[in-house]
Amino acid sequence: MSFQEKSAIAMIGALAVVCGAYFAIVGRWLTVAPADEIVYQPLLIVAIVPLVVLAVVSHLVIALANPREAGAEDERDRLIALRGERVGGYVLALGVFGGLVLAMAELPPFYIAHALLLAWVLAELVEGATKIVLYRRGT
Amino acid sequence: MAKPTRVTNQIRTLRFHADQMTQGELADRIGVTRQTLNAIEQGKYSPSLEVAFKIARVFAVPLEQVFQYPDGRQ
Repeated sequence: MSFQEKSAIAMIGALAVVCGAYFAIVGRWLTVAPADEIVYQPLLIVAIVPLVVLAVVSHLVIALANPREAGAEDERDRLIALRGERVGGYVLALGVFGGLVLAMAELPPFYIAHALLLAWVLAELVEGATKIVLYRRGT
Repeated sequence: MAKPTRVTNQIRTLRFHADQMTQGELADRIGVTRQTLNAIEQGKYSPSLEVAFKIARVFAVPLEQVFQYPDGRQ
């Protein structure tokens, strides 16, 4: 497995753990309070810290496990990255459109913010998954 | 699932005849990762023309001795 493939797996894992936990917590709040009374902003900002820490630590471990290949990137890695980003881009665009629909329907900003956040998370996950498939199946 | 490319290659054989050169050694010489060279060998990735020429140059053979493309239309 190349450094970039391991990196894609690490990012998917970090995102799934942190964003999964965030959505679980906020989802629970939503069951006890109306959306426009939920103060989600501090948790969202704080959630960035474990995401960055997990990303850095996992990349450090990957690099230390095979220092010779750390950060190595060639034409195939760049092609796979571009294709992954393109597929992720479609998901993000779809999510942004969904957020726009929610805004036009004048839903509370809570829902719009989380629709956009979910779109970004899903786009990143799909991007990573696409890269892994392309690494395994071939390009 | 269909193979992503119809291009075939003789890299494994050429490596064997070149003092059993390792994938890592060849990858270093042409400036790609070992995993990419492995993908090329297995027909999972068609390299750029530049990388293809670099591989041929390492073995000092013409390009078509390294890579082949089947005759006839698909």
